[in-house]
Amino acid sequence: MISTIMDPLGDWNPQLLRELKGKLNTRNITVAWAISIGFQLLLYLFYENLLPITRNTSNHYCTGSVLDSYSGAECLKDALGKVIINWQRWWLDIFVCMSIIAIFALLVGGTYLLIADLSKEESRGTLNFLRLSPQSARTILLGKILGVPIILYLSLLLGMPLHFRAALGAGVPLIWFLGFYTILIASCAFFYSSALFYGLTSSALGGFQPWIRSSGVFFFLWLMKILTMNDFAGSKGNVANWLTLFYPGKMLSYVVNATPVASQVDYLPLEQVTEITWFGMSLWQNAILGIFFMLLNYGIWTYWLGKALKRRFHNPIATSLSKGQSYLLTASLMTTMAGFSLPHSNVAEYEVQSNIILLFLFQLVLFLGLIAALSNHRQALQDWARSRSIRGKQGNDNLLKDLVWGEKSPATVAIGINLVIASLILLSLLLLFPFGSSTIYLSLGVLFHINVILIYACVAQLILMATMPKRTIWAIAGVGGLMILPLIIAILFQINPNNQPFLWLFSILPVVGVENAMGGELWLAFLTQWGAIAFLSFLMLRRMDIAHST
Amino acid sequence: MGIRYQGDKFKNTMLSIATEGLTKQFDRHVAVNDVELQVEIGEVYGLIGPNGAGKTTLIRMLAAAEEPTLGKIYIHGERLLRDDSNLHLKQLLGYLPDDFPLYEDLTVWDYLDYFARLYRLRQPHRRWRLSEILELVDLSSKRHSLVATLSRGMKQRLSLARTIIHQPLLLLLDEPVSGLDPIARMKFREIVKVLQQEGMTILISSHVLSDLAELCTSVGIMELGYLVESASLEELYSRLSRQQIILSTLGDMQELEVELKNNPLVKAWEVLPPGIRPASSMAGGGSVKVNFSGNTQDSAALLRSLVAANIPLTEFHCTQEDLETIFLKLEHKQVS
Repeated sequence: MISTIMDPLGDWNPQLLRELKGKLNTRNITVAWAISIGFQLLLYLFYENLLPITRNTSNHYCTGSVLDSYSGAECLKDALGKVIINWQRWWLDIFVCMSIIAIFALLVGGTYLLIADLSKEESRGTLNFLRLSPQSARTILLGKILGVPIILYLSLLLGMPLHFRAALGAGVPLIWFLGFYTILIASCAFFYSSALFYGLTSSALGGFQPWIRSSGVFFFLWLMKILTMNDFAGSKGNVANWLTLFYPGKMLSYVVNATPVASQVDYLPLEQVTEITWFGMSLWQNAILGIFFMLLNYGIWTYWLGKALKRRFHNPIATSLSKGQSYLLTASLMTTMAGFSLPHSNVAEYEVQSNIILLFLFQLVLFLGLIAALSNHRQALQDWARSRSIRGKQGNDNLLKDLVWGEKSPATVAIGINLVIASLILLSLLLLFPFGSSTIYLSLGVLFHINVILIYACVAQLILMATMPKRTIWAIAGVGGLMILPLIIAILFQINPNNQPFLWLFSILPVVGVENAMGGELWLAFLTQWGAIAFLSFLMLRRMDIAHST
Repeated sequence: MGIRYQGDKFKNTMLSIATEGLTKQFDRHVAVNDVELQVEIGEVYGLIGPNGAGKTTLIRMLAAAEEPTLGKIYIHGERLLRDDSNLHLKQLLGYLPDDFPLYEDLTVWDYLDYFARLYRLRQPHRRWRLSEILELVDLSSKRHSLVATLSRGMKQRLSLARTIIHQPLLLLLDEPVSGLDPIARMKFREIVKVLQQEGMTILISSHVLSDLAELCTSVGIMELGYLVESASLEELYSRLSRQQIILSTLGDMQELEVELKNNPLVKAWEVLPPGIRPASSMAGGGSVKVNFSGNTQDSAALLRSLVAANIPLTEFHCTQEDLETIFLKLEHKQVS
């Protein structure tokens, strides 16, 4: 019977069958199921232990009037003297607990397993065979996503009956139960794609690869869990709200609200979701629409990851994105983030400023990612220089077209174009929406941001062109050093952006310095930065000429 | 460094492999330099050269495992690119690298079944092909064994089986016999011969020149990244190999040498030391290796004249210089 299922499965996706055959053995299945059942038993006993007993006067699961958030409700007793228990509330707690455990187990565990598997294939040399086979990157990577964490899936599958029972007991409508799983699956698609992308791009980290990434995912989920579980009200119109949409547990606010005991629970407040706006629109007010936009958010970024995965899978030395793709990605990411940063009309000005400064930080992170995704390595640049010299002899060399669209050309011009795209979006946001007196200095901040990021891009590309070994690590160190150095100086010499803003114009957040800088200081900083960009570009051209002539 | 750039002159040609100015540069080191390789369909092409000559890089580029710095590759007239644009072209290729990595957690059958599925083989053909291929590489008895338990020779044969499971039209074998014992090498040679008979075009690189001489129809010599020689074996032999005759006599060696001196087509001879004499001359007399510039009829005339001179010949054996001698004669100087 197994072969009748496995055979068509293998024809559909050979990679999936290979993973299943390698991982589904009796030992693995037994251990996974034993852990799953043991864990469920412990969880059940833990919650049973929380139930009130006859001598209790108050408890969270009692049905009387609520005394306070610590003691819970007053315990009422029936005619037989037994405490009346709020079973719906009890089951809801179990449901939420199991949901969060499932999120952590799936996303952290799956990320770890996928990266560990990929790095094993890469170090063993077998990944090349998959690359050379006539299967598409999509088939192979989908097979990995579905097959590598199969033991994890099985153990969670065994937890589903209790999860369903808890949902039933808590009065969670079936549609919301299924909605939660839909979001969970979408989040897996996103996190697993990003794990595979990380696995394909960071093989230099070796054995630490899976640990670093899964710890990162754990930290992110843990932070998001804290933010969503408690009554932390995210600043309105804050770009960080966008990040919380990547946490599938956000969906639980809707689920809890749909239960009859919603008013009795003090966690997962609905406002966490409903107050998020995008360009002032309350897209998450309506739960069905909210889920749709959460899915759309996962869908868009999983799509982009898929594009990058396809490129890197077939050609490991290719840049993660083509230059053309990067322009589209920047436009869509900046529009998305700008939408989340837009303040409500009734927000204090300092809050508006901090929202935009946070957006500047997000933009910086985006560009550091773009620099990594677009900067070619020495080999590709050398290939480019040589093919250019040949095309030059034939008279069909178009340098500008190559720098804007070319696969192997240096990234600096493309980063510059991306900066222009991002800045246009930012400037439109600043000019079209009410930012009050902050508009001018924030707009100037945009210009200084362009300069600083261009310097980072030039430095990264210059180091990647060098002949020294471990260029990637040096490039990270170089850019990292440039980012940290002004901050260290500022801390050591206690340079405050309010009194001495000049240094801050060279920091990761030049906008902080712009606010208090004088006209002369701004000009001096602007010219210094462009002098640095020109000097770095000159060095780069000289290196290209050397590569050209060899 | 001669760099050329040409149009798509090999597009849609019926050559199995055609490269145009193929070049690969690693930093300042040019591993493969402006290689124009043409291999016809059905050939077994041997790639010779010392370590570091660029053989592996060339084969990796032909398998799309490495991207060329410059130049183009055509497989059966179609341009080979390193992306997902030509998945059907990948179906035509079989590539066996020199380090043949394997999945040790699978059984021999499951391993081959996995690759058969990757190359889109469907039932019942897949099952039939797997059995056939296991028979060919002599691993039928090991079909249920874990790959980890196989010997090096078996793993090598399993890798070859994996490479040919989808019946590729072009097989690229990189040093396939290195590190194998003589029996395993012989087995491997036999398999390659069967594949040749099946009509596969095979490009094989090896240090063991005697293996190539036995298998190849054409040979290319690589040195410092250049393809310095590329010709059919027949042409190479006729151009560079001298005919040699091994003679053994029971009688006096001096009599034999006098007769050889009288023949103008005999250029030189060398008396073979007892250690490498043919068994037929062990009883007495001796053996000589003669460098002979005549054709077959001339050698027949020589035999007639020796018999007429009453030389008690026990052996008269025409042979040619082997590939190794030719290779050395070409005086390529790159050190491994």
